[in-house]
Amino acid sequence: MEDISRDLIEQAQAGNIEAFERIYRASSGFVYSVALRITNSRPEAQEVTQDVFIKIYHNLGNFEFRSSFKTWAYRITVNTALNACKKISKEANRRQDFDGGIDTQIAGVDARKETVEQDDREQAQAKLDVLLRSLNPDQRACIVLREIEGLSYEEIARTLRININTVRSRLKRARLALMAQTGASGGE
Amino acid sequence: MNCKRIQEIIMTDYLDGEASLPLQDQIKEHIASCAQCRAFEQNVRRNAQHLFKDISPVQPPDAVWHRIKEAINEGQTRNAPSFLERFLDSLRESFIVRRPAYAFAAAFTIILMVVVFMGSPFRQQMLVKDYLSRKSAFMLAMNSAPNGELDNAANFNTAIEEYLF
Repeated sequence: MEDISRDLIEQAQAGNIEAFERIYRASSGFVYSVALRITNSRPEAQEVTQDVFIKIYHNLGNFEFRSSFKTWAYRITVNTALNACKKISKEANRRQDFDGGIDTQIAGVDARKETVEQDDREQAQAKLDVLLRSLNPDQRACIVLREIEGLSYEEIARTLRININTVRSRLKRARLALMAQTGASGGE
Repeated sequence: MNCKRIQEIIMTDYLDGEASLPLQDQIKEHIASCAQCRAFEQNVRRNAQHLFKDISPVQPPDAVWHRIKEAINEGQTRNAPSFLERFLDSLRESFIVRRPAYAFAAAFTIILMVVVFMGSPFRQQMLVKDYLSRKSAFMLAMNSAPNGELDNAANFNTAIEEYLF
């Protein structure tokens, strides 16, 4: 994602809705993409995208250009998406209790099947979605920011407000899990 | 560096281009001479990295922007004051502006009432001073005057003195 110009942000801060729409057009793709990969659900990703931009709109006045808009927006996106994941997980647990132990993993996959398989040319994406589901949300956030958004370790650490070695550790575990899922040897 | 350490670096800094040039060279050299680590590097690339290469950018449906815009407009409408709120605000504002004037008027009235009912504090002070000076003169006369002269010195020309003497 290209960083948004200061001028455009200042216009939006002054309440110019057209300027805010231009910010949305420039950054909604990455917000939605990150939200989709972390939540693994299109409806949830749409909800997250909506929440993120409403948060951005209401907090734009407090944005003081100390960090880049990109980092700020990534942080809001990842946090909102991780919260959505927690909500999904709680709901899945409740459903499991209600159903008397039905395999929630399968139930979750079924619930999201339509969202993942709707897109025709997304065989690879569907496979990736299934693989990403094997990671925990923190690992998922790290690998998505690295592999899809191309953020450096430093940028990921700043976005997630974690130590750079934690970034390394999460990426390593995420990759080991992906390799285990695809049947590749995990090491020595 | 042993193979375990090399593989850890392959999985992270080496794969992501975060390793320094000397470290990259060291890993490359090791991979060239170690079949196991070479296979591991290929596996990581194929099974943990290439998965993401075919991912095309996605965009949210237009409905998302419409919902965001609606939510913003709703928020603004909700935050915009109604006629009643505006009226109450103006009332409150005018009250706040005039409050110092009311306070000043109240304080002035209280001071005026104190002065009227209790008399001027300066006047009271003058009476006390006058009384004390006359009393002091009397005491001095008592001490210095010979017997018999005291009667005149103690004469304050009051009604009771006229009656008695």
